[in-house]
Amino acid sequence: MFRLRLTVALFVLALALVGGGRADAAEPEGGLVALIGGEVRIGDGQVLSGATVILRDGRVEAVGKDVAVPPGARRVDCAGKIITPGLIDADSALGMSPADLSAKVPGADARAADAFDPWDARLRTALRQGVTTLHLGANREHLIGGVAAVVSTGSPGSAAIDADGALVINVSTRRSAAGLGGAARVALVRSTFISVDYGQVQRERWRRDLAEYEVKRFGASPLMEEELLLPPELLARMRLWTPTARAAWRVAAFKSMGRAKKYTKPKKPATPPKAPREDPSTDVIASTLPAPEAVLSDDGPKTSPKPKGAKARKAKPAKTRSKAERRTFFRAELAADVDGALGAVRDFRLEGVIVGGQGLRDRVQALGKANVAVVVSYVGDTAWSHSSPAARREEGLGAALADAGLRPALGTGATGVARFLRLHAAREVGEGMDPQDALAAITLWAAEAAGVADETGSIAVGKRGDVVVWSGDPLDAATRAERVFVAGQEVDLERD
Amino acid sequence: MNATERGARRRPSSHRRVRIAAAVVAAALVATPIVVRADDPADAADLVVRVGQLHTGDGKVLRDAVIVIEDGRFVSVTEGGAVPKGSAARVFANAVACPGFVDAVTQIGLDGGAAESPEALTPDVRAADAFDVRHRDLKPTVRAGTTSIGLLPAPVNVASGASAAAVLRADGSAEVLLRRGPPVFAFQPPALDNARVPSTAAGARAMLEAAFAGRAWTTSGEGSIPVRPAALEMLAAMKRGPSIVYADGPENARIAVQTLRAQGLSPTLVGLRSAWKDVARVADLRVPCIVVGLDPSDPIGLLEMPGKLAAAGVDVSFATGAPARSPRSLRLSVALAVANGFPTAQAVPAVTSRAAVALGVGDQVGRVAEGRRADLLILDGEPWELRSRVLLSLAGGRIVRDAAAEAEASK
Repeated sequence: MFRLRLTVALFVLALALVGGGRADAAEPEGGLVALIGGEVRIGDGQVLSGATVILRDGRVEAVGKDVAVPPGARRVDCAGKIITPGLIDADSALGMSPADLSAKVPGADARAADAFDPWDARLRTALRQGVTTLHLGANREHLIGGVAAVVSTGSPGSAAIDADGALVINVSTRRSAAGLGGAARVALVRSTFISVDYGQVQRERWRRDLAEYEVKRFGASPLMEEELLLPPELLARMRLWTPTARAAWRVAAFKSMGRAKKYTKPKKPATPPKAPREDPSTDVIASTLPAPEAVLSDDGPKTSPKPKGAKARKAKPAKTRSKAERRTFFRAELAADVDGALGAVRDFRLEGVIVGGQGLRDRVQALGKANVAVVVSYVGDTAWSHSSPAARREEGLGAALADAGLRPALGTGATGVARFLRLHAAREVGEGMDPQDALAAITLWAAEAAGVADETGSIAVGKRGDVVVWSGDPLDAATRAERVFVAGQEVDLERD
Repeated sequence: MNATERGARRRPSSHRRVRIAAAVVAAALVATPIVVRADDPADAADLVVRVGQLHTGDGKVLRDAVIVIEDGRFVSVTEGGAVPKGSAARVFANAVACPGFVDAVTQIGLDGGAAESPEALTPDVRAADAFDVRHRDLKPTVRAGTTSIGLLPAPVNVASGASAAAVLRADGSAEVLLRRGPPVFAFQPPALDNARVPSTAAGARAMLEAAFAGRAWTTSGEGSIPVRPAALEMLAAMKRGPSIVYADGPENARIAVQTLRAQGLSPTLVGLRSAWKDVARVADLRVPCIVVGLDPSDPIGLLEMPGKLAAAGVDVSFATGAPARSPRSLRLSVALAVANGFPTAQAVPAVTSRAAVALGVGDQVGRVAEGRRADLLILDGEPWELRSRVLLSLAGGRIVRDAAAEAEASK
């Protein structure tokens, strides 16, 4: 008996040992990785030397100098290496077909995410240079360019980080596909916003009228069907019932809840108010505007006190009004385009992002005062045209914008292929930008401009595990990306 | 005081007025030549610079280099930090210096057009003749660190014409250094075209070989144009020396190189933008190559080509091809090549001495060495890294950019 027990105990012990050994050897499901001893550039300007980054289940679990390596983690020695967040191209067209970039009649609801090919071979070349995330700016020809998207370059199966991003508006004068000059485009943008804004107010009025009608038609109660927390499918179905059936149902429902006393009987029938036209394109534009109640109640934009000093930066655009659901991404090339965009942002209280090149130079001060995010997008790295100087790359723009207190992001633009984003940042440094700012411009600030700073852009606890291990400073041409992690999983850089 | 006295007094005063006017004129006469001479590099301020690290341009690196500049030229270049007695050096202890860049392939300032067609042989066309020495693109070029440019006739004819080399001045003007530089040949469209004679590389070879021997090669076919005796004479007289050949792919490059080598002309290959799919065959030709106008959006294979050619022992240099591409993009080309495997040890020669040699002015520019034109760049890091900032740049001994002075001025 004793011997049997001993045997069983030994057997159990052996099983435990074997099992434990296996757990150590195998890659844990979802990934548990410890990047140990590297110089970690978090993305917000902070640098931690000799620090450890823990990635678990696709997210950053911990980062810091005194972080213990959890048991079972794959240990990666990063001594002498530099670790940064995955780089983010703040204005890209990579993986999108040219047809989608200039399609004839896109609606505001045309989504860049739908035009994106996550298996485009060029995505891998971008990934090999540490670019893990792209902000896709949808159509670049039409005034209303559609809905932008934020996608990952390294996970074709689930590329979209945000498929329902900003509304893209192309106010650039040089784009003449719609046969409109810059001033006409700005005017059209304004009238579009005005009509949609008006439509929003109309819709709000209709909602109130409908509620009134419902009370008249079916009888009033402190509790409506919606307040009974009925499933939406049932509510939808109930709208199709005859008035008699609904009235009967209400009486029964309220009786069963013991509230029959509070029920008032229906009065004479009335005609329901006419619903405004439903249009998904208008809905997208409407979602960039603050809610209509806010428009009716709010008495104008408030100004928040600005931090003093050249280097003081806004942490995030200050919220002076009820937040719009969606940001508006203005592509503006000339200074006049920038002014048009800034005017629309101010008048319609939009969450604006201004994307441009040379035109930004003359409006640096105005941008610094406005409540907008800014993206410097390269219309051409080696372009040199006398007929359209705006197509030339503007020197020292990153430094000028950062000095004005903005947090500029960098993008590679329509013809760019994202992969040498780090060299763009390096060039900004060569032209006067602070190196930490330049790294932020292709990580955290790019995530802010793309509206995904809660999700990625820095090595912070809880964010996506998009991390790159570099052989040296990522801004040096001679540096290589040695390891790239996308959502906590290491990417095989050798594979084609 | 009577009238006579008044008159007597008036006379000397009018004399005085004349004297003042004469003095003003004399002063102006004296002052004018000074202003004129200020443009002349020969009168450039003398300067002694000490720098932590110096890439001389031919691949060597000197530590604590002391560079003495007089009359727009390098007078001495020494290692070890000993500044000559009695002179005050500007010290850039942690900085890196290199020669001003040589952009070997450009058409800057050739807006008037440096080409003649439809003849196939136009060796007498000189790019220098079309060059505007005060063109508006020269200033951004010199500010970007380029101090010498190659001017190439457009490669629209098999024998396109003569290249030229120009040096840039700090004020944004230029001076032709070599008016009749290496001859330029083209073994690619549009010089080769089905509607022209010759239409193939083999035809171009036959035509050139005949011309080198002093004979006209014509066909009776459509598009055939008689060869001018002057063009024949000029080609027949080409015996030895450097030449420049545009070729798109490895096959045309091979035929061009064989043709020119047989005549004793040592070719440098330009273009090759579609040669990256077969780099080994280009490398086998054992000729220097100039890679023109790299852009981040180019295929990875093209960006990797300079590194692969260098690994095979080929002398590679870079050029912008301005104004088709930005004249400011030379450093970007180098950085892109370095990011794709081009050895950093060759990065400086690739945009200085090698390019100067290809243009036939290797003994005058492209190196920091005694007697050369004082074209110098001082940066706070390696020149092939885009993040490095220019601290001081000189063209012909004159200051183009001076970060310290600019910072002082903006205060």
